[in-house]
Amino acid sequence: MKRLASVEELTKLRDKIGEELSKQDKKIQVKVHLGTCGISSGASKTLEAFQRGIESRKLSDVTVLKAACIGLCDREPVVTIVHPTKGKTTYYDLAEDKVPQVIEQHLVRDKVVEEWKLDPDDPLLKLQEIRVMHNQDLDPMNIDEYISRDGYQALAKALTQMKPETVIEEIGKAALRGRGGAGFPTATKWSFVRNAPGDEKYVVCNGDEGDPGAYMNRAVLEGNPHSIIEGMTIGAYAIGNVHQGYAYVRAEYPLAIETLNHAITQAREYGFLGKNILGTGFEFDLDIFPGAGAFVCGEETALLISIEGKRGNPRQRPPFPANKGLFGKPTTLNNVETWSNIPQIIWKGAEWFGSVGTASSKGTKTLCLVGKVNNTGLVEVPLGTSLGKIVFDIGGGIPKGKRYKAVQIGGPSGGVIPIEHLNTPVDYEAVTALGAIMGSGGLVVMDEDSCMVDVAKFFLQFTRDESCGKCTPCRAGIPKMLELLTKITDGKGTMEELAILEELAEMVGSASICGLGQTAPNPVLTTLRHFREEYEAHIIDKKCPAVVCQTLFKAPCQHTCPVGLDVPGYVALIKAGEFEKAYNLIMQRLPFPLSIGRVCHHPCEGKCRRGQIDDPIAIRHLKRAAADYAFEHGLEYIPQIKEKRKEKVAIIGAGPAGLSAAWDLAREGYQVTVFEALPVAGGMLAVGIPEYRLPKKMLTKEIETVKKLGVDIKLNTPVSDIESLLKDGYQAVFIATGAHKGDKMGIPGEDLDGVFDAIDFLRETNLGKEIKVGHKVAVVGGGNSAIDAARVALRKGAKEVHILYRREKRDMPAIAEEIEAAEEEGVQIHCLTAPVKVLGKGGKVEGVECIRMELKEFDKSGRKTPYQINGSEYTMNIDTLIKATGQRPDTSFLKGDGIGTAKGGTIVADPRTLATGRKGVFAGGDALTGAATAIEAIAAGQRAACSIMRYLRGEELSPLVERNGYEPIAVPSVMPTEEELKEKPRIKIAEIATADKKTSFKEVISPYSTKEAREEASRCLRCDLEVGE
Amino acid sequence: MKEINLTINGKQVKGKEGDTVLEICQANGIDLPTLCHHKGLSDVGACRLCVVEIERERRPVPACTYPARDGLVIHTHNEKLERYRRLVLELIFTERNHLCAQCVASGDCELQSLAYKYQMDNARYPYSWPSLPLDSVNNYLVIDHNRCILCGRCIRTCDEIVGVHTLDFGYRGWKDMVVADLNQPLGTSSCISCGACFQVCPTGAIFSKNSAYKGRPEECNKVSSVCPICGVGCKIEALVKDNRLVRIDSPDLTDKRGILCHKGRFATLDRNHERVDTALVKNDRGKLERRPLSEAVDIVAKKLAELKSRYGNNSIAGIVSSQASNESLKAFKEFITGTIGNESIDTLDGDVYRTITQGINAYQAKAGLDTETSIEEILKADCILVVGANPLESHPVAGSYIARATKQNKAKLIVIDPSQNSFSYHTALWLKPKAGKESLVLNVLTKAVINKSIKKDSAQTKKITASLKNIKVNQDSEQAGIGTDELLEAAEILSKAKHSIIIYGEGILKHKNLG
Repeated sequence: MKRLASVEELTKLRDKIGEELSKQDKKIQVKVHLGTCGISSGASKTLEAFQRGIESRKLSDVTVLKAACIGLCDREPVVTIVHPTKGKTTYYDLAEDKVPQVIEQHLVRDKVVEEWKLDPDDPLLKLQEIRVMHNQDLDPMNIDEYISRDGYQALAKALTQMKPETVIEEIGKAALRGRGGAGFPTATKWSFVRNAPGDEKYVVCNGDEGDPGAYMNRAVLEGNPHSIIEGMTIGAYAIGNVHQGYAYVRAEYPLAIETLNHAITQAREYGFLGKNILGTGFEFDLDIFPGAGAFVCGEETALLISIEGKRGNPRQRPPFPANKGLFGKPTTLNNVETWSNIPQIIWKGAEWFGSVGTASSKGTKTLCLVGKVNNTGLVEVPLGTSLGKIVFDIGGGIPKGKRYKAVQIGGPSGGVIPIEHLNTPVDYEAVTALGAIMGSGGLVVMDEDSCMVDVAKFFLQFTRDESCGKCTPCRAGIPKMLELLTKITDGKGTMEELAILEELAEMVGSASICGLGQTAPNPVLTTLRHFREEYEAHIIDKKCPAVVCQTLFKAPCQHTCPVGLDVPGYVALIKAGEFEKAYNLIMQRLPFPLSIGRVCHHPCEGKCRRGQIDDPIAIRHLKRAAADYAFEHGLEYIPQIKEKRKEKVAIIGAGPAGLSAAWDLAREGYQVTVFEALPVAGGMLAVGIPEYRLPKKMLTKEIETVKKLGVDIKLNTPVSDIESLLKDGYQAVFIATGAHKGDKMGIPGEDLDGVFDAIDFLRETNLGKEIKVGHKVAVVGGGNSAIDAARVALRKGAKEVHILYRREKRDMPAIAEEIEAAEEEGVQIHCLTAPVKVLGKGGKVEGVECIRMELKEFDKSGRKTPYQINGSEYTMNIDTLIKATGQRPDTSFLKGDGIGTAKGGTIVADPRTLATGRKGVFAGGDALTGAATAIEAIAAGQRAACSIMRYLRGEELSPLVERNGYEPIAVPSVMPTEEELKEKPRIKIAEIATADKKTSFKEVISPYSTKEAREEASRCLRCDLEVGE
Repeated sequence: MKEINLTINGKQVKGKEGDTVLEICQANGIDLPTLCHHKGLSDVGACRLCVVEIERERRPVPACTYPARDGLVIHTHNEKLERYRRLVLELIFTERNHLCAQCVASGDCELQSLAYKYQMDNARYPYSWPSLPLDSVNNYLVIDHNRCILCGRCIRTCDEIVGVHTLDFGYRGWKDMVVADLNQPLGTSSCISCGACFQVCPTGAIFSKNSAYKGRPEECNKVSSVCPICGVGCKIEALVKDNRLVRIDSPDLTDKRGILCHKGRFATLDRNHERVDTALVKNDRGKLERRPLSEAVDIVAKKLAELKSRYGNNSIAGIVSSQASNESLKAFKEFITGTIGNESIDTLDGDVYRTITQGINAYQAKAGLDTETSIEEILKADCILVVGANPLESHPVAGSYIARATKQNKAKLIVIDPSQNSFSYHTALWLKPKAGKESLVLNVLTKAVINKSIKKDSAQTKKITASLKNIKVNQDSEQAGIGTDELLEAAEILSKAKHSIIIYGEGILKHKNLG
């Protein structure tokens, strides 16, 4: 190739190449995407398979081409087939073995293989704005393809039609900001260097991308290398006195180096580099400097010093590289993506560039979406796109139905942005305002299984190891912060040390030499800012809420259980066939296994490690199996009362919280009286849960056990005066009155006859009172009460039951199995629907006016906010409406007792010690927290008992619940066998036939047989036996 | 230098453009703590103790690196900065092992002084207690990494002042260590044992075996003197306690002649510290026995007087060490010429130097050039030719100047020596003539240089050219055992140099009888 001597020659060449390529365009083009990730997933073999197949079938109208990575990392190998008339089809996961079928179907029979095709309307593709990545469908090793797409035209334009100042002006008009992280205006940077005195200056490209989980620059280096060369040459021209540039590319990117090297050689051959570029007399050349793998060399001063051949330590600025950079000369250093943007801005103009983005952050940004997100990969979006859109629409949300927690943006130097900020536009200002940084654009998505203290530790480990060690704050401060964090995750931290950690983090961030040290504390500072309660849980409660920090627990299930049940213990006993011992072990901590074994929301199963292999252990069903065994065999566990004590304790409310407190206090010998307003004991377990979920005889049996410890339960005895209880000789009072009052919907017609509150409806039914439902019932709400009410209504003879819910089904707070069971029984769920008015005639319900809802921005819980769609109202004919829109405590009896209540009626008390403002009076359960679950109420009861005992002994209250009082029960220490470790789903639980279900209140779920229970228990991995490292 | 006005802590102060903020603070009596800063070394802003707040700067910046500008508004002492300083000190104290009670530098430690100043009675962080090695292979120096605070002063001194650049940082981050060469023990490295690192170390991380635990500087008398070892004449400061030498420092390391060599700094301390006040005298039975000096002097005087009277003045000649001090030499000369009355007095190597000096003088007369220069000129040179000498061994301080010039001025160093090149790290070109062919090489080189660059019509050049008319560059360089290309390269370097220096030693004549 002869060097191009003028712009005309370039234009001619472009047109000639265009002609040749248009011949190719008449064929079917098979483009195999060969980025590093593609190749590692076998894309080279896919390419060969296409070449072989097309050769052997002699498909003359098909041509196989190489192309770059288009960012679909978790779906590699990716192949695009471009048809001359029918457009393009993208296939994913196209391993070698699938190629023959694609050839046969698509290329021979012209039938798209739908199964492996990526839907072009997928938000993953639809919501992206491809600019920097616009040449990724080309062969990066072929300069002609780049030229065919107006490649090097921008350079020609700059050199022949623009003055250097005009080039900078144009970049300034585009308001391009540095894509490396800090977002400094590129034009300003260039002018600094242009105006700096000196007749020898440099331009440098920073390709030392080192953040964990960030590889956007690699994709550009591998896929669009000429855009970088062109951008740098234009930059050299605009800045002036620049004749040499360097591309600093990390050695870990061999393909990027190879591709860029090849591109540089080609550019030299064609006359885009070297002397007299395009005949204009302008001279510039470019070389690659491979970085040796130090993260800190991404820091500009360190990078430049590294090119000089010295140890890549950053140095203090000023002087800035704009005045004293490479070899002491004025130097411009820009990121790969920044350089890559330049040619397009010059060629298409600043206005085009600014057509997307926000006022202060224009253009697009490539982002790496990794972590706990369905579509991991490289995406390009307009700056200002909301985080929620990126994670949930483009990213497809969180795998395995887990809850989104936060995103770490900007790599180890960045920070976490929590769930309540999903509407944050991803631009330089908004991200910085939340304490994170844009960085190079790595987005690590984290779900509920990420411990934020552990995340901070992880990133600090990284920055500790990558610190150059020059300045004290970074070198010595980061390890010190890490030591403090480790103490916290080991449960040995103190609140004083947390304060020291914060002080240190602030100093390290403020007083370090370079960006590495200045931003290294960000993960600590942002997790502290948004997740302080997790730090406190580790320090005060010795708990890791995400169940990650292993030092704090034996097994994840036990750690997750609000009462800390020895799950591995009783599961192991069941496996061994020791059902009685298993029951006794459960009874050490939980006096209601018959009930809890049926109704628990089992958070333990969500953290079960077996779930990472196949399904979590059916912990709840196993607990029930042990309890049912004892029930059937007439076994009972009544603990020994160590010593009779004379102190009297009053408990208000015989729900799970009150009764479990009574159990713990009574077995320590205290005199306990429980006051219950209702005619039955058991609280919500008795009056909230329908019979078909929890048969009354089971609950009664458990309440009897409590009574056998000497607890006196006074039914039909509401308490209206705490003071008088104290006067009556009760030294301590525990208020556990629950949340038995239904919320209003706040719409007209709510008071019509035929409108029930779910809580009242369930209670009356449970108490055996006559309560009639009509034929067509609507239930409003999406929680467990709504589902219970709907299923009870069916059983009471309703012909149709409709649930109206204003969001989507996946947003419903009810237990998933319950929703499924309700639908199976015929309950119809209407999502994105809300009632606006209850219609009636003669005071009776006749219908409900509904409105359709649409979801817009994210709310603080990370769910999208529903909005009414005007004009979408419609009427549903019904005769009964049950509202299940929430419930709250009724604490109106607490007047003038010195016990505060909050908005919504909840009692004010220390969440850890449960102490109220009145000495000797404690409160817990739903009355404190608002409606929660049975097991949480039981945990609160135990916490209250602990505090009361400490109070009565005259000790200081403590946030830690004493777990003593165990009777030793030996648990077999047997690790699972190879066979047991093999993939095997959980043993299915039998249910009674649907027809029976709908008509009777008979328990719907059958228990495991002893054989099934033992088999299921043998799936347990025994995490509790793991020996520490 | 332009005068500039700044506001520091609300007060107007003046300074010179080009000064750092630290220099201006120090000139104005504002006391900023420092550890990595050391006068005469470049500043790196590593320890972060001298951080100050400068209005319009987003973060605190180290005063030591910040170039002062007109109009700067600076705060050096406020609650936040003092808290940062304390936090930094806490970090340093907990990072490694700084137990003063067992440290050789206790009482002579800048870190310890700062701890007193900031009343560091405890550290709130967990102590890391790493177990780091101790390098004691070197004859004189020990590096105890447990006491190192990684300020980098030793490294910069080794590089910028001494010029050998033996020390540098190895590893990185929290595993950072000061290493010699590619992490070798100091004793087997390129270290020249000049001890400058020991003198600048702010803690007890680098210490001298000879001086350890012999006394704290504050307990010593400081005696200024000149090093007695070689002819370079380095200034020294001897630290003396109880009439014993404790250590020898350079009075001002930052002075361009501030470094000492291992002989000057350590060798003196090597010897027994007893003052010589007796002599060994042979008794009647031919056995040596210890007698008072005065008695010995009497015996010598008596014997010399006898000889002189029996055989005449010329029967007694004097031989004296060339390393004796000028005062001693003068006294000795007066004794021999005056008291004895004989002119025969010499040193052992006097012959060699006289020959060389005569040669030089003859050449000087021929070329009309002043050929002598001061030793500091080496530091300005852009080309250094070393012939038959090993300054790193004979005059290590001069040797280090050569090393420094190659590094700091990028001076080209050419060594002509058949067998050794002690400057292996710094040499641009090593010409290895056959033994005894040094003079031939020099002549060929002279001719080649004249051919290349010098105006051939000047009177001096003509004279020199005439004397070299028999020299043929190609043949004679081969004859001398050196490739013509190499020789021409040397000539090229020499002719391009603007400020070249030639250093010769007795090696020129060492082999004269061999070839």
